[in-house]
Amino acid sequence: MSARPRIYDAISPRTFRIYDDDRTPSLDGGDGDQDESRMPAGNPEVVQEGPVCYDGECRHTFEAAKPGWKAIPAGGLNPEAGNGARYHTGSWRIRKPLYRNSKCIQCFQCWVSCPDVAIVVTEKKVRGIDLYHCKGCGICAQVCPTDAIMLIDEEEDWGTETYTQVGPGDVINKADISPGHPDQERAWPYKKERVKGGVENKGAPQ
Amino acid sequence: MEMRVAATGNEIVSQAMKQIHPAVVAAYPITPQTDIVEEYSKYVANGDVDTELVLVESEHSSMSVCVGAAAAGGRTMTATSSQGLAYMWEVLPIASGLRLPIVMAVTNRALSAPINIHCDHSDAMGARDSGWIQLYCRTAQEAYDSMIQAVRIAEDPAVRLPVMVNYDGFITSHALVDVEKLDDEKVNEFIGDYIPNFPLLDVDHPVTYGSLDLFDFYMEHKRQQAQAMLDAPRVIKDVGREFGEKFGRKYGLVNTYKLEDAELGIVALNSTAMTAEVAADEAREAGLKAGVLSIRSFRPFPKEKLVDKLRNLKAICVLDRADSFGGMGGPVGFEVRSALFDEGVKDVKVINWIYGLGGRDVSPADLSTVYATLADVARTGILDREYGYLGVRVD
Repeated sequence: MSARPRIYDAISPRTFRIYDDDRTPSLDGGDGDQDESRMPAGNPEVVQEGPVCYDGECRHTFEAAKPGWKAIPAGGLNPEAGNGARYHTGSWRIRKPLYRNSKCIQCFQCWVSCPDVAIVVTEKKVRGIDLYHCKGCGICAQVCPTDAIMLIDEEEDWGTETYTQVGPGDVINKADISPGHPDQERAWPYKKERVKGGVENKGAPQ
Repeated sequence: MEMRVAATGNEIVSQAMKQIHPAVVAAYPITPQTDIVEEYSKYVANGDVDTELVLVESEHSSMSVCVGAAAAGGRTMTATSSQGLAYMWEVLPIASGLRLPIVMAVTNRALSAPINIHCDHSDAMGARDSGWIQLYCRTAQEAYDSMIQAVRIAEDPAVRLPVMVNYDGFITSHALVDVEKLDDEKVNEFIGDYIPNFPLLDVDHPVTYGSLDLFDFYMEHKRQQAQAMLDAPRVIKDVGREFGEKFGRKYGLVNTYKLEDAELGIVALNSTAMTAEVAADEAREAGLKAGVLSIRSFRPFPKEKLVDKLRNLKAICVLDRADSFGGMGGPVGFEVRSALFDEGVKDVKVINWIYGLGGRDVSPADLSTVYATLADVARTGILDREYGYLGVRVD
């Protein structure tokens, strides 16, 4: 611990507790010389009489399970570093990268270029794609000089575990398409289609 | 302890900034604000302050730099006016939403078109709902004092909101007046050290500013902001009272002049309130019980204090130096009417006149016609000009 955290330590409880006391809000600031009875009573929240439900299912359950406005850090700040790891950003994806170990030359261009941290590297080697966090932007496929990564439709099933899926606490699961596998043949027409579509593919083998 | 100096509004505000000595000032010149930053850049060049002065290419950038600097953990200030404030608009709610205690001087000036460099309040009224605290100053002295108080108000743990200190362009910003200036040490002592909340430069404790905040949390964060504004009047008054105890000039949410026994009142912001005081004296010589109320804190709006002061009057004229075209008057008029309505005050006749747009001169004689009209309204009980333009030429 360095000397700096003192600021944080001094401030963070205050920030969290700003709203802990039950001060009566007043548009006039609660001047001491003012008649207390003139203050508006209570908080401005509208208290709902019972939940609003649709088809017997309360749509407020989701909101009710979360902390209220007094309990969360002010300003929408997120003081917990790295908690994006818990967030399933991969849920937005419509196309997913397919990683083939047999074509990978371990140049790490995908790892450098990935705007998330979805290229899984262990023991100084690229092992696959973390599909829990990969948003499917396709940059890795663009920069890959050997077409070891390409994008396929999210629903497409290649029948083999060709990519790595990592969630919180998940064990990395890597696999490969062995040379001569029919899936390799499927990859080439896909690439041609991509070049035809005007997308430049630097360094791709002819 | 105090030093009497001759200074323009802008000069004394830049001297307040020098005494506050912020870590970062990011600004772009615009008439009539320019000489604040011009003066301040001299202080930087002369080594009087070691502020990081960022001379940006636009007001959008100046507020963006301020947001970044305040999030990084530095005391941050800027100044702007008119189109500059309008251009800054996109970033204003970000500063307040991230709860960054930035202090900004706004020399009020008309908005284009037609282009005009002189005073009205359409710039600040456009930023009325941006989540910033808005203080309005009648004089250069008030602007100086309010800049110093604004630092305390903005940084109060119960508030943590940015503050705009408004004063009239040219009328207050460029007129040379006699101002009492505090000692540097006294200002330092009053504002205290800046203790940032979650500074980004505290790299041992990283935080994320500006995360996506959707339907599940956004409303809770806005509710927090609402609470900060609800708590702000208490802080504004406490700071104003402490300032008064220490330096002899007490500040609150509103200023009143001869309102205790008044029947006719003018409600105004900024320098016009001082003109109205002259008009009120003249009206009293003519036998009218005239008074003035000026709102110092327009955001948060001091509803109860204002209604307390106005509830016993017979007729009031809310003077707005900005129109809300197609609305039911000007912005100050809406608030005053709503406040009276909410408190069940039905006997006060309210008229709401637009005046002084684009720096159109408003003299005590003009405001005497307001009191004369109010006397008619009070006598007859007839409201036939509740929305009008004061001082406009008619063919």
